[in-house]
Amino acid sequence: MERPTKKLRELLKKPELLKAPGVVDAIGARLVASAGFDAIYMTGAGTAASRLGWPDVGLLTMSEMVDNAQRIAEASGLPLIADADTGYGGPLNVRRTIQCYERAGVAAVHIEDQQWPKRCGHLEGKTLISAEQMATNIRAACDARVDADFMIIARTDAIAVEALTAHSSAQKCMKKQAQIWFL
Amino acid sequence: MNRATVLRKKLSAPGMLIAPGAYDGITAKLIEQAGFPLVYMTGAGTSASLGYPDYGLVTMTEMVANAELITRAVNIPLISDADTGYGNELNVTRTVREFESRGVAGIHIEDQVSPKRCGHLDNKEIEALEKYLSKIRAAVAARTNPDFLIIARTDCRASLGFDEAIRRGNASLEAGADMIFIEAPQTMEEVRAIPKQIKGPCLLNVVQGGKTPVVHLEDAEDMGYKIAILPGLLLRAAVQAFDQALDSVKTYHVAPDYLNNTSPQQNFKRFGADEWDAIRSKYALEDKG
Repeated sequence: MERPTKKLRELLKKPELLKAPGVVDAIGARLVASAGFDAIYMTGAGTAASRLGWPDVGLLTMSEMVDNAQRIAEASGLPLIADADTGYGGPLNVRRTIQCYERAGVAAVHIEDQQWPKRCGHLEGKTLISAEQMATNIRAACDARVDADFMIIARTDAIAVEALTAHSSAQKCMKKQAQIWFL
Repeated sequence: MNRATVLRKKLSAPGMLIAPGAYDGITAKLIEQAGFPLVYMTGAGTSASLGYPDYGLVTMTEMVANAELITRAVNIPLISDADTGYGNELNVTRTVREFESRGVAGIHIEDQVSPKRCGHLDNKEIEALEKYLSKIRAAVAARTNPDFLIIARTDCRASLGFDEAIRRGNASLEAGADMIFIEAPQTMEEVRAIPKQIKGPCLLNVVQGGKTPVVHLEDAEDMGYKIAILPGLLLRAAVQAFDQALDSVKTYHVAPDYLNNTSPQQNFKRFGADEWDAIRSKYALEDKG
């Protein structure tokens, strides 16, 4: 079987937009696969609602997210892009987070520049870590992967907090080898 | 009886409870068999048993799973390390519910910025007091059994000084904490002053080779402490014993002789063989009917 990480890289080479519906469990994973999508996304907000019945305010642990991601990756058989929140701490935590997600069979994760505990990107009251801290986390994430095709997506929540400085934060991360921006 | 209630009863009696630290079912069972009234789950030991240093890498899920395993292995109450409560007052609410529903009798929550570090390491970052107190209030409100013990731990001695540690301890009591844990006092005078200056029950952390001088446990009891935890006692003993046994095999190409004194069955007896044999016999008889 082709590695899902490599498959995702190939899909991204195509000119059209890659559509990855968000799911919270293996049921959704099966439906997305049978509907013929090429990729799938695990939503943190949905996982919090499904596993806890609670809102997306940083209550799920990395262990719970990885456990859910592993089921979705397996049930869908599709390259999975998973929400990895803030990476759950500093560069050491980010390192462990990447190792766990990669072993779970995930193809890509996004890591954001909010303070932990984070909040849903579309809520008010978010606070950010510095662009330097974020760049360090991204570097730690890139160094942690074993499979070079495992994709690190840097997400910045800065637009809501600091308007256009989002751009500079994202540029710093790109210099640290993150592959995609999520603004 | 609920083990949080058992612990409260033990604490209402005069004297100090000694709680060695467990990190798995083996260490927990040995602590109970040695006759200790209380077991403590060490975060450093739990990290080590997962192959990590105590650098805040272990998740709440992993801590709770280990705590549940330990409560199931023994019948004595368990007090667990709950680090920073794993976030803000919302995370603390969830943390208390998770530990309490697993049968844990109490937890301690500290005022370090997450990800935390072992209390006896340098460069700990401390949370603002108001933020910390709101977490203590959330913890107190989150328990369903009022006997579930909320222990407030402050790590501020190194960076903010002893007086601030006392101030934080007393503020935590006012916020509803049941017991105070001042981490890493630096002199015997400080160790002695804590139970005098804190207006409630105190916990003493006995760390070998840490920042606190060695305290004899009978002296600690005389000073007025209600609980003494020895988190690293068995982990350190195990590491030394393991290294010695491994070394012996590497050097002499045979297991050390002192390990041949017990049979496998004798070892199983330490871990509930009699209980399980009784169950086996019961159903074997019924089979013969």
